[in-house]
Amino acid sequence: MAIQVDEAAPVVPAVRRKRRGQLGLAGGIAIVGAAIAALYLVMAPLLALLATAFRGPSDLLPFEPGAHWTFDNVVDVYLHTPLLSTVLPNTAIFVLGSVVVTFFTAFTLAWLIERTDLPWRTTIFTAILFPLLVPGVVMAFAWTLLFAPNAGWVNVALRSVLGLDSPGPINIFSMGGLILCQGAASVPFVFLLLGAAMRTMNPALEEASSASGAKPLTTFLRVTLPVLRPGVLAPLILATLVALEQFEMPLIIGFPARINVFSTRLYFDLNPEDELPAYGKAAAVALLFLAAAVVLLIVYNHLIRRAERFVTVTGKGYRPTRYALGRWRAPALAFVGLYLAAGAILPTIVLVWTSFSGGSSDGMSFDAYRMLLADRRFWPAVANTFAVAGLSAGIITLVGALLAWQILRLRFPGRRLLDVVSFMSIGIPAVITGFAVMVLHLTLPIGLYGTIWILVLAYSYRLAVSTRLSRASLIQIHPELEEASFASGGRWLDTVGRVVLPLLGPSLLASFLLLFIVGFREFTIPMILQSEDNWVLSVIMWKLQADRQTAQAAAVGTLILVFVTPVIFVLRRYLLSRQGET
Amino acid sequence: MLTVRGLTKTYATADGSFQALKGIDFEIPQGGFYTLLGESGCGKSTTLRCVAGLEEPDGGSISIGGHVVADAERGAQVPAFERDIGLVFQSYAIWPHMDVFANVAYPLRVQRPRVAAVEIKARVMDALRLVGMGDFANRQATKLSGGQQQRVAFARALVRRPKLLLLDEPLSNLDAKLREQMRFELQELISRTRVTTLYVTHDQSEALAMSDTVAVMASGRIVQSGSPREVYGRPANRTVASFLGSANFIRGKVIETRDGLAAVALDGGASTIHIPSRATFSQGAPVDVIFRPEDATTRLDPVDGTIECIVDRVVFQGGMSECQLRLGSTPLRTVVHPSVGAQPGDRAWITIQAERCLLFAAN
Amino acid sequence: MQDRTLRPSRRAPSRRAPSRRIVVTGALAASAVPLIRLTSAQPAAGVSPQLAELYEKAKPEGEVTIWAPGAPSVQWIPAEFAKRFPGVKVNWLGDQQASSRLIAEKRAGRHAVDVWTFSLGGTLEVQKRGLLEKFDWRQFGAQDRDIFFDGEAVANHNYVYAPIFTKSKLGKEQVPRAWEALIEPQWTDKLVSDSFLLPRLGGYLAIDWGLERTEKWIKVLIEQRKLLVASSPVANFLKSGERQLAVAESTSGAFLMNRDGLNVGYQIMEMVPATQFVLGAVKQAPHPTAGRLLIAWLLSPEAKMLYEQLAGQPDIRANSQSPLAQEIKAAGSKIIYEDVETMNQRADYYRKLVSIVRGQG
Repeated sequence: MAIQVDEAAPVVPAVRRKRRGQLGLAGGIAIVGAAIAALYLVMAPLLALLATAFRGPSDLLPFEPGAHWTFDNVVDVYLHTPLLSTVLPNTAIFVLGSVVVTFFTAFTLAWLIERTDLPWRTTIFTAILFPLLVPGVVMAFAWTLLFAPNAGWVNVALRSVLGLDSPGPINIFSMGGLILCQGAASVPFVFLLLGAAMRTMNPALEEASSASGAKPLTTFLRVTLPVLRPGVLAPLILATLVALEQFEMPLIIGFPARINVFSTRLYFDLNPEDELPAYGKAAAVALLFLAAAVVLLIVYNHLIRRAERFVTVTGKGYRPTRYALGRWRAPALAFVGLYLAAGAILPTIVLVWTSFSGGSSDGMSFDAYRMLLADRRFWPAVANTFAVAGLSAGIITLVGALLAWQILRLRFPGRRLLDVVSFMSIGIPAVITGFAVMVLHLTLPIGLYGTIWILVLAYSYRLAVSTRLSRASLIQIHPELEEASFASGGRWLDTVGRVVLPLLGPSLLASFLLLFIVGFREFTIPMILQSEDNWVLSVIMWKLQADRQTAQAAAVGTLILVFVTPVIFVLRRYLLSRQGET
Repeated sequence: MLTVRGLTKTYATADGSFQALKGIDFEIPQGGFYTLLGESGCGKSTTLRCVAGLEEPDGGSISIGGHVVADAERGAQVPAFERDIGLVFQSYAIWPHMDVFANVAYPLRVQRPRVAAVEIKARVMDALRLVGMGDFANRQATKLSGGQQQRVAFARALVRRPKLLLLDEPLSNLDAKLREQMRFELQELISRTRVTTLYVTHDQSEALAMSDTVAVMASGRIVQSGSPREVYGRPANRTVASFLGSANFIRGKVIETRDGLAAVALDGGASTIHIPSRATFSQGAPVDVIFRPEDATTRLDPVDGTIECIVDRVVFQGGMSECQLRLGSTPLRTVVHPSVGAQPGDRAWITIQAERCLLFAAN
Repeated sequence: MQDRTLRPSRRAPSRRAPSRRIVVTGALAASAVPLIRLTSAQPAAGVSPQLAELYEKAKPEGEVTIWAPGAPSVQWIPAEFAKRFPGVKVNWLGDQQASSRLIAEKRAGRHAVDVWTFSLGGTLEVQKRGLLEKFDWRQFGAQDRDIFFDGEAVANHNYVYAPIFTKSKLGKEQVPRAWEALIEPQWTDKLVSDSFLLPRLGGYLAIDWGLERTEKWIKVLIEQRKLLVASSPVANFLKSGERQLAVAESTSGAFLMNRDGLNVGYQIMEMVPATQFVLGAVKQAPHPTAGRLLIAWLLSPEAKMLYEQLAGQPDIRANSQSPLAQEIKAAGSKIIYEDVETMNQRADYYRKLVSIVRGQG
């Protein structure tokens, strides 16, 4: 007759509903402020985008007088262009292929680092993260220098060793080349997520399997993989979303191979030569993109909630068993070495070499650096890049944490909507955000257009990252820890300041650093929103490239690496300490 | 000290709404120890959380020390941090990022107007010594055992000398031996500080051992409240009876009621038993006779006036043995000395102390 | 606003420069040198009285902003302008998206531009919306036939299409003079082209060949000759030796590549397409007089020679002194100018060819 209600705290704490009065004035402002900020940062550009898709005609800009609502763009794009027959299949192949490559590589690397006795694990861990620093443009250029069919260094070397004729044997300008490059570039991020999932797995589950007489491989297939599945599928979805929005590789490597994907299609619509950018058509293309992203997001959300149930809340760090590699040690190290060489070491060498030599074998000099440092665009760009990356990372971390807290702990109408909104931001590709923000701010007379503040706003749409991270950490924090503070006489500010933030601290820092790195190397958004007052380093690099100042462009790339490397080391300390290795 | 009137609370769930509290009334005098006892889902924790201010009641009122802290009709709700309470959680809720001292000092540190650091130190050390954790002030909270965490939780709850101490199943996370030990310590502490206490538990032995008053709750209502002996010895209905201690139920028919005694013919045997009863029953009314295992004597040889049963098994339990019998088809349990041995299928004869039996109408 | 000048590259200009160029440059430089003093606000000698008068009126405005499709066409201007008109600072922006930016900014009420310079086709959207000021540029020496849209735009310099080849791999005699000849099998795996310029080149060729023949030509180049269609600068592919000949390129492209140390040559084909660049004064300019001064100066013969020498951008239409114009004449080639009459048709061809070049995307 008794009805079961989870009053006592179960393993995963039930949502506690709070009395609004507990928030107090300061709390109320912070919470409502965060919610509004989230809505503005994410929804406003999105709505601007949706509106643009239905404005025409196409020879007027959407906000000009004379523009009106129409379905023309959508009809034009979907029925009268080869979008569905060519771009869609190409994108599908590209995304699938690169996700498979990313996944296979990231999983293997994560497994080797977390679950085997691979030597030099700490160093390798840091090295794998390194490609996070390298802007996609730089990677792509470096790889073309290495693998171009006629003059690529690797090809030249292979040809002389194997006695072959030009061109080849490796042709980077192909679907295969594109997939491999994109796949390798996305590895670090997925590697981090998979590593985290593997770390939190309860070793008792595998021990039970061994005790039942199963060989290691059987345990892996029948126990480890299924248990890891939600924690592994979620990064897979994430990798798919990231691949969908990728733009630098398809532009530099895919395009010469006559491969057109969504992102390059959008780029060309937005950058025609003599005509005006076809905002309406670009937005119409983006609709399909967004629809696919939303579907993926729903699946991702579902998987994440399942994965959360698999994580225990005791906070005691598990030490999963490590398998001995034995005779697999050499091949494993070779695999790691291959990835590091192709993904980090070679591109960096190419970059640095180019910065000193300008890409020809004439001779090396510091000329490029000298000219760059004297260029009046450079130092403001450095300041802008740090400012924009730092401010946006700070905003996102703070808003994301507040958002995660209120979605998890408070009950109010619209809670689900807020969750979905913050979450959706991951599915919006950067190129769309950039141009949505531009359209929005050209239409609204706020006067932010052309300043660094518009960049800060545009970058800050990536709420999903920090909301996710904060949420994962918050779940580990039993709500009774907060209630104990209330019951001890602490107000909302005391509770947040003395209990929640210190406990969340490490994850907030990680979120900030990750977002700082992402913001530092962000390229698409500042390209779209550029003006004389808000250049950042990645845009300067592209301009120099386009103006054929290759050495200087490479110098900028090198300096970007130099600036962000210290951040990686700080980030790694946090990540490794969570691993329990320190 | 604490007055609760007409407390109701309804939750909206995925399948509709669920009324957790259907009208709770009770009072705790200054220095009293009041226990809410019941199974999971009966509403005891909800009541406690309403008193603490962590939940807002939909109806009724609560006042602590003469101050109204919640009144649903007038829309008043004093938040938790303004109530003069100390709360010990089931999970202790010790903050992992602080040491023991900081945990206990917290209520004093967040107090406005500010308390001087010197005074904080003195009071915290007092509280720690009170719970026997005086040497642990600088220990990191993550390095404490369960029992130690519990003591720290106590110290924290008592450090600002609240008017009301609230305890939400504080012993249920401990292992059996520790639980007993902590129960004694708790009682000691509470009687020494003489703080008014509201205690919530599902463990009836705790409730009976520690409380001045026990309130048995089921389905959002207080079914019966009274002193431990009252509630145990005179349960108001079969729910209470079966919840507190074990109970044996034998179906029977009333032959007649006379002079405050009901003559009941027991099913499954040719026995009649005369039970004191203030209620009147019509002739032939079906009733349940309820008695505790310790109120029956079991013999292995027939004596006049005893009821014959068949032994199912005898379970050795160290200090005593439980004898599982069958009267007809009704299972019964009695308590015997551990040296008694009997085989399944043996016959046994029991004498029930009629004056300690309860009689309820069968439904 | 800041002066965004890049220091000019220290590498020597192409060794092919004829001696006449050096003499002319030297003469100009010599005449300008004595008067480079930062504190002086006098116009240099050699500036016409008309411009001097305009300069006096422009001085209070102090600066002028010019927008162009890319840096090369304007980045040389601030230094040279400052030699002659020290009191007026030149700011520039090179952005291929300048037309939509101008439109957007006008809509947002921002007036940051004084002078507009773009190709004729690229000016259309801006001109259509009435963003350019009508002016009688004949007072500064422009011919009637060089004035477009009733005075809203005036002809400036040309973008002359010519294939570029790496000298270390090919000799000039090996490069054909007929566009058709590039589809011969020997060019397999040797060709590269920019994705924007190739369809544009095709648009010009189609005026002469018709669309069908041009489509076929491009298809063969891409599919059978494996012409690499690049989104990044073609110079990279020539520099690394990945490809040897860039098909849709220009004489100014060759100039810039050589200035950066590449060592390339260009070939004057039998048919030479030439894009027409124009200058225009923007309405509601913050510094209108300075803007007019800048345009007037850029129309002068001296400035046209500077365009060719410092930026590699010749005026082969109106400047008979232009070395390139003379080279083309000597080669007996036919020049296809960009003009208002064929503009729409070429734009049409362009659109059709773009989808082929980009792979049906």
